[in-house]
Amino acid sequence: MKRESPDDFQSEGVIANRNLKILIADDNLTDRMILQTLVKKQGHQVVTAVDGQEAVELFEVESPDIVLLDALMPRKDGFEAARLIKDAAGEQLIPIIFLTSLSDAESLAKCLEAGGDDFLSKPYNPVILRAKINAFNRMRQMHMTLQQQRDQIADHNRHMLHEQQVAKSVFDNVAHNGSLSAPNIKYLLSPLSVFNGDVLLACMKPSGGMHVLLGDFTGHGLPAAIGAMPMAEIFYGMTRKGFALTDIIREINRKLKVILPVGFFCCACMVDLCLDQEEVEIWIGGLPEFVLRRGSDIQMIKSNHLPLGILSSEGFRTNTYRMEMKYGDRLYMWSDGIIEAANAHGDMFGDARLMQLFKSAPEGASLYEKIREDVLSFIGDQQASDDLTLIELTMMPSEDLIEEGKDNVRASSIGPRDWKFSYELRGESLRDFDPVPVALNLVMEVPELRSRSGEIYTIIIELYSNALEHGLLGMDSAMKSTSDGFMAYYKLREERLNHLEGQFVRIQADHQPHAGGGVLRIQVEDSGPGFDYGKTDAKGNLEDFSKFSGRGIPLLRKLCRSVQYFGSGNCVYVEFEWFKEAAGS
Amino acid sequence: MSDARLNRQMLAELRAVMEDEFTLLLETFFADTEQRLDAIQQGLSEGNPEAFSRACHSLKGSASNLGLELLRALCKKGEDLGRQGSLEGAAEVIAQIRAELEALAPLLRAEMATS
Amino acid sequence: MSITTSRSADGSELVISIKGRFDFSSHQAFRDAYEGAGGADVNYKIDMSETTYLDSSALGMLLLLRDYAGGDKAHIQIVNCNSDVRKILTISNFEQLFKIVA
Repeated sequence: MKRESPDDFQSEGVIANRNLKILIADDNLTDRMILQTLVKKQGHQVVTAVDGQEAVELFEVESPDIVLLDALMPRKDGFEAARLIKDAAGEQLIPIIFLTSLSDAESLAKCLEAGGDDFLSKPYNPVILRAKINAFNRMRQMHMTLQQQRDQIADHNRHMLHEQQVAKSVFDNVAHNGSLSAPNIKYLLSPLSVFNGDVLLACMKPSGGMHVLLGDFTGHGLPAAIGAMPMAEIFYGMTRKGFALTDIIREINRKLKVILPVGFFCCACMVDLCLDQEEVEIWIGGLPEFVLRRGSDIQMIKSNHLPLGILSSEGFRTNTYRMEMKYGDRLYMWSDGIIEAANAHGDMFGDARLMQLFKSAPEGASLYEKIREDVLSFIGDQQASDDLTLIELTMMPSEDLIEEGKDNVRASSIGPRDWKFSYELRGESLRDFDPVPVALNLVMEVPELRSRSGEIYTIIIELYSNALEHGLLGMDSAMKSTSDGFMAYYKLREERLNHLEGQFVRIQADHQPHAGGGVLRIQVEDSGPGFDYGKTDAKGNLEDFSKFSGRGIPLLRKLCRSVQYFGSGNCVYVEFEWFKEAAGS
Repeated sequence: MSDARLNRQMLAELRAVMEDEFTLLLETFFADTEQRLDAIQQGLSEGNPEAFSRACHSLKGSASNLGLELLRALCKKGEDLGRQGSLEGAAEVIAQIRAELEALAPLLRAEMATS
Repeated sequence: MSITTSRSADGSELVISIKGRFDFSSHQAFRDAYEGAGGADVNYKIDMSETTYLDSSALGMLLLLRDYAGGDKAHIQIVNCNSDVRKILTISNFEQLFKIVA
């Protein structure tokens, strides 16, 4: 390692000052000779001019580092020359030192106004000359360093913006390939920066319902986007595979906890719109309370969880709100940017204004446009200080939705068609694990079944729910017929689930192709006491089954070519037959 | 070492700086001074106090750099006079400057000879 | 915004008082207030009697303090919140992580 002695610094200092090019302009030959010699002896290169005009011309050609200018010269005096040189120098700092024995204040002021930086009076003193050249050289270097840094920052900024734009297009591909354009969704997402701290995701479920996720990450820009990417991946991936809301929100929380630094988190709300059941399930953590509008009735839904990315999986809770939501009912969600949107006076839009809008609106009407207009006209020309995000979700029959999601599950024609599997869940696994996505994924390996995933999902979920909820937990669906009973049903279900011990549910599936298509056979058996299925069998008519309403049997009958119960009623067997579509259709 | 006319110490320092060019410097001064004197004279004859003042100022610079104290003082007198917009007494100042230059010539020639 | 700290006579409790808006501009000052205080061995009291506003980055800073103070073992009280501040803490369900005393 090189040791630096004070001498080294000294010599470095000299080197730093050496090789400056200095322009001297003085019409007085004697004085010019003296100054030129002094400057050369101090190690600099000298260019001389006999008047101001020549000084300006030489400046353009020689690009000197420092200019020494006599004030009074023929053709063009020092003041005019200084102005032209400063103009030509542009952003560069070219120190100009006036050579003068002018002593009156007015003349000195004139030198400074013309762009002069200092004076050197005659007779020339070599010590002062050296000190001034050194001082101005330091200033010049500092100026250059600052400019380089400024240019670097500007470069970095340009570079960063470009990267953000690229990243944003990647992000948009991930985040917006879902079902946001579905006819039951209206939304406003205003980007405060290139990247929005707010994330809005929507995806159709294999069963035909829809998952929607609103997230508000702390901060804006890249930090927000980084968390949004895995969030979107998990949301879309798990939703398409048929996972339940609670499984998905738990997995997103786990992932965000791992990747986000302490102090960064995501306020979020996830909604499961069960279109055919006219039910909604909501998990909400850290976002402002929402509104569910049924006719003219307004129900507030309050945040009851910490935001995502704070708690570890052990402490994370997935209890949700489950509510009836009839066709035409609307759910409104927003991020705090809406409430905190401020006008020119710094007043916030506020809860009260928003609630008034809900209260005064005509029954059943969409309020999205009204809220949006009111908020935007309230803030006027002000720049919103936070992201403005607003969503209106309307419950409607699944037939009314265009299932754009299906494009993303484009089938490849390769996959096994002749197989059999058995999957048995025991003991604690029954409490906190949902086997339906796993089973569904295996079945979906049959290429031709992928386009029928909604039906197959329904069959498997009905069979499994029956086995678990009725077979093992002894639940009664009749409870669900009232809103209060609805809540009570799920509370009781959870209680009983927690006390479940020593039980099992076995799912067996078998698929065999035939010339025109194939047959999927599913048998689900549970360790419960069963029920009296009486004389019914596959040939029994629908009315025979009606007394078991709530077990979804009519639905199964509709989807499957046969439904049969065995044993004590704890074992059910269904056959689903499919046929190849006619070529060209 | 120094007298009112010639700051010899300053001249010695200048000699050290200029080295071989010291003689050339003094010869340049003589030649240059002729032009300055012409310019001063012209300022007077054209009745232009500003030009007169500027020419005096220029010669003053050289005088001060060479340590020619009395000449410097005379030039300053001419410069101040012209700046006030007057040429009254200018002819007398020119005469004094010429006389001083004549007095200086042998002294500076002697300096040249010793180098 | 200003942040001041005081310590109980026996050094077991650190009181951090936040005046005005508590947002990202307080980041460094808030960190300086607790760093070097003694981590998990100290009880922390955040006095918000003069705190007018809280944003999400302030919530983040509280989480950083909690982490510093031992995470789940931290002893942190948030006291004297006005109704706006209280509302933000409630929406975020921070009472699950901090002892919030009106």
